[in-house]
Amino acid sequence: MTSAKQRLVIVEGSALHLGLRIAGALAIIATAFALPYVLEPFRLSQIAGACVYAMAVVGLNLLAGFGGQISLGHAAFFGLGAYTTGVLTTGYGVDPALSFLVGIVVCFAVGVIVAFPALRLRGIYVALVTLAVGLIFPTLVIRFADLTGGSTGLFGVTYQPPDLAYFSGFNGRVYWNYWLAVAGLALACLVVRNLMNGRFGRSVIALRDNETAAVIMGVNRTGTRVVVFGTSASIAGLAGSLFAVSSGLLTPLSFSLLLTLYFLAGMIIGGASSFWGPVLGGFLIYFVPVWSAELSSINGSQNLAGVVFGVIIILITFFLRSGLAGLVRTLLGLVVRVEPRMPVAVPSAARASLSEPRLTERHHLSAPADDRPELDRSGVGSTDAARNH
Amino acid sequence: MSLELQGVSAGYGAGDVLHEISLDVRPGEVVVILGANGAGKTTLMRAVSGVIPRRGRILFEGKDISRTGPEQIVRLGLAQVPQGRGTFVDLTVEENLRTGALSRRDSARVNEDLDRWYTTYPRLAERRRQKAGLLSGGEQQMLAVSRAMMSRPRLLLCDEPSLGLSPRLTQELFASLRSINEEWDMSMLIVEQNAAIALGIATRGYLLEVGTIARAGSADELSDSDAVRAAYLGY
Repeated sequence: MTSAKQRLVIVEGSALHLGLRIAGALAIIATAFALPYVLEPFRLSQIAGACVYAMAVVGLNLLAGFGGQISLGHAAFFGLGAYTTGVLTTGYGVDPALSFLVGIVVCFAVGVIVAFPALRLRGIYVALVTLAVGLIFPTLVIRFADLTGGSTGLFGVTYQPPDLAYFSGFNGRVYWNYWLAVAGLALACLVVRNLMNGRFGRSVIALRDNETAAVIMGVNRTGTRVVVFGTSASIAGLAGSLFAVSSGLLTPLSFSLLLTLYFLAGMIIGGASSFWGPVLGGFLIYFVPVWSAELSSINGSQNLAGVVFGVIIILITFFLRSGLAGLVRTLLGLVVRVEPRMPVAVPSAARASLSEPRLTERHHLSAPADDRPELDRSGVGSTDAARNH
Repeated sequence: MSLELQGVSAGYGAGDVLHEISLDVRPGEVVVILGANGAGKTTLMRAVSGVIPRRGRILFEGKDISRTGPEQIVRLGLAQVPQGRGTFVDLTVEENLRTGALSRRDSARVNEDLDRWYTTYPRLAERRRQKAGLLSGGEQQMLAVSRAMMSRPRLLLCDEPSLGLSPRLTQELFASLRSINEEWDMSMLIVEQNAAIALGIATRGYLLEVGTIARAGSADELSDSDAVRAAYLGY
């Protein structure tokens, strides 16, 4: 193991730390702008498809990763958003942007309705409630064939690009769908990030870690769970709406239980309850089948996407509990250490009480400092890293 | 009166665990409830903090809270150190402490209180950015106590705080509880199996046996009583 002295130490909140974060954000934005010029149109639309999947995984991660409640019904929320946009735009001539909003609201509402029975249940039983939703949805789509096109599908869902020079060329529609998907993914990431940073986020994790203790501390269990469920569902719904306008064709089979399992696989592979792991995972569940199809069309073998997923998930479960995000974090940790910024007042006060007998006299629990020798900075750093493995 | 229970019964559906319990805690007192496993100590704590349904009257500073939900009860000024410490293992130490202050809106004073508890327990200050699940048992108990105190309660409930601690850490913990009681004039209701150490800091105590109060008295009276001696003190 590399010792802390050889690692680059960055103080949290310093100019360097801030600069690196801004540079990272700029790199992502620059990549987003460069891709349309670099990639062939069909590759670009694949990226758009991956962004849409990633969005759904980001939404699922809010509920299942941060919230700790497995959902087996997220394909249904994805489908609900897709069909809301599909039916409203093709059947009623509603503006697609407005249909996105309707989809978000509808999915939030359905998410809240599902959340209430799920509130009284734990673990596997929550999964069963959401499983019911996931199984009912395709059946309902077929049942209301007049509206949804039933099992034949709903055709011609599209979102006309705005009248800008950028979108006017031959590939204008590809660009437009690409930017819609990128914006959607960015929005989903920002929403989850803002929710999870701060008071609300702490309540969500506290409920996941120890529900009784959280409630005793004053966490509003019902309110928190309902908001998490609703937001998660509406992010999946917006992803579905974007899926609808970019694919153009909706069939009930596209929103089966299998899709939910793909979303869950993406979340686990990417890294549950991390912020950008699910984005990686979303890209992976989109591109693994694509690559394996391309590979099998070259050498004529079976499409092995399922096997590839199976192997990856088994490997992750055994070796990489925190997913790709955890792997990247560990690797970065070997070369860089972000030092927490200490408040000015606390450490001095803390040290004072360790050295002044007057205080240790009163606060007896500060005394056991001597049963563990005071470690130097580098020592603390390397034990941290070791524990995080 | 800080806390008063009048004929409180509670249980978990299949039948009552507590049968018409009556007890009280006066302002500034440390009251200890002794009892063996299964006597209903934790059920009593849960009934007071509102986690389980209960019958009878529970008065906190004169206000009946027997139909109040747990998150409201915290806001009224009643905090609990739950059994097994209730650490939020995936939150950092500081986030755990901030969860204790969830009911408060005065963020400047919350920060002052954070500093105060970091000063009391420097070990927590050193580890403030670490996941609380990585703390040792003793450190987690300090965290649980200071987390409860972060809500600025006027009554602190402690559910079996010595559980899983070494004798030495138990000593230190109770010394710390005593100093909180003295410095903050904090009323406390402590449920504990370790009778010797709990009676050491208590003003008064109750003996809970199979869901009823078997004995009540001052700490000295209970220490001298043959029943308590035989069953809990072992001499």
